[in-house]
Amino acid sequence: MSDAFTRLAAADPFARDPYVVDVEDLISRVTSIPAHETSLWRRFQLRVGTALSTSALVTAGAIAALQGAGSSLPVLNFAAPVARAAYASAVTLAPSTAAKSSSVAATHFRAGPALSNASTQGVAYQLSVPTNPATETARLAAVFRVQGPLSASSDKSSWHAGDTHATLTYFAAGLPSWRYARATQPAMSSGASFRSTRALEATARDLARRLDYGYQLASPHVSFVSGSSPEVHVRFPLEVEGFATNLSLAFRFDAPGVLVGASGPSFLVARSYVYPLVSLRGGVARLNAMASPGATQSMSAAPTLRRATLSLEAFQLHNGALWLVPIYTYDEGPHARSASWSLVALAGPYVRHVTSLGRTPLAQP
Amino acid sequence: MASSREEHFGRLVRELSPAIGAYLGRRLYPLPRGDLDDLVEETLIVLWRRLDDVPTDAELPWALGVARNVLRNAQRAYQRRENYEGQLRDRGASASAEDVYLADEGIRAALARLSDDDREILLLHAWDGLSAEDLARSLLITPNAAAVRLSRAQSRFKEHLDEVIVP
Repeated sequence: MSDAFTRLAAADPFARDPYVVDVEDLISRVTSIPAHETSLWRRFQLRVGTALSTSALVTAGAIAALQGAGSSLPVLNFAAPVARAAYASAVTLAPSTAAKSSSVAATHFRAGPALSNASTQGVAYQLSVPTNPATETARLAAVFRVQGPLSASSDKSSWHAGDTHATLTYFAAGLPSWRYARATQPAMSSGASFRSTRALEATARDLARRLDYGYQLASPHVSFVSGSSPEVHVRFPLEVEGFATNLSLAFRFDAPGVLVGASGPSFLVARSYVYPLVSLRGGVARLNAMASPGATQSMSAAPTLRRATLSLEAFQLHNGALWLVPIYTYDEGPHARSASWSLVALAGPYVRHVTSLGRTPLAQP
Repeated sequence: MASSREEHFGRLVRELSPAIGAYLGRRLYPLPRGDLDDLVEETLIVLWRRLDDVPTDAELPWALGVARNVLRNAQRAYQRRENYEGQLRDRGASASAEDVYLADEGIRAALARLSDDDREILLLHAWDGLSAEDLARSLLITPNAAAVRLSRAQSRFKEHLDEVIVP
């Protein structure tokens, strides 16, 4: 066989990691399907469709109709927050989220007059992650033009491709993430100028498009880092169907505009569900209900929560499933202390073991 | 106790499902595992219903032919949905795994230059392991035609690979 066909055979993405399925279960399912049954096909179309949809209204309406107006919504068990520590360490430009796993402080809250009692709805998203970490690592390596062999950690929780020039690491645990790093280049000579931020942003957007995960990019945050090796950092908060998330894509460029680092999460939206949400005022009551029973606090010291935002945060549920879940984040208004309090916004019947996401600084790094 | 029909089908599933899953997985990416499982199951449902039609000397080519039809339906549904919603992703109608996740940039580029027909027959041979005779059964053409088409596809692939300059 010539070198060309040896290379072609070696490029087979399933050569190293064959497709494996529980065949006995499969046989049992297939042989029990009536001759006229076609639900499998509809299920596939639904999954693909929701993964690609960009219109929150279209998706929400379609899913609500298929669900029989919300009669079969999954109950989410939040026994543990998503393991975001690994993600935070991989995404050096992302806001630290470590504090969010702490329990709510022993305190009492008052609801400001602007917080409504009206019930509302929000969309939660079940996520799917790459099925094969090896092929995903190879795919990402190709996007960033990383050469070199592929290897895995002993527990297969992280995968690595690269050589002395650049590396691509894929973290498979929890919410999967990836990190690209280029070998440090010589420091720029004094007097050199950066490429325009618009050009760097365009480069970053092109790379993001080639990642092909389907999530959208919000307006980027651009910052300059001075020092012996000055850099431009471009961070895109991620959106799903127009809703803000706590996830982001980060890119670092050196002075000549060469990409020296990048990182972000790996997921696709598998399915969306329209859930009833607790009202904004009801959310404050839920915060109070979660305060430590033995805690004492004078009412005069109780913060008054005057406004709230709705966003999506990633969680790994008790059964291991990954979801983006609607979250209320409250604060005391623009002139108050720099603190906020967050909690899962889903209405009571649909959640288990909900804890507050704790008190977190508003300031973002 | 399982009937002989169920035993026959069970053997086919044990022997063919890895190849069917790999065939579909190579050509639809990135696709969540659950969706890939659904497509494999859809293929096997056809096998189950048409068990008596499966040629005993060409089970894999026949199964991959069914998988190819399932795949085309999936791609058509995908395209219809994209058109309906105005959702445009930078992906051709025949987008396949080799377009997006080969680490070998030269291979990727050379494959991208092939026609859909050339790429299909080349990869059925190189990745799915079908011989010229198997290709004929899978593509419903004569063995001679399959051999000629495979040879031409291999030549064109090699020419493209030689032309590719990876930056």
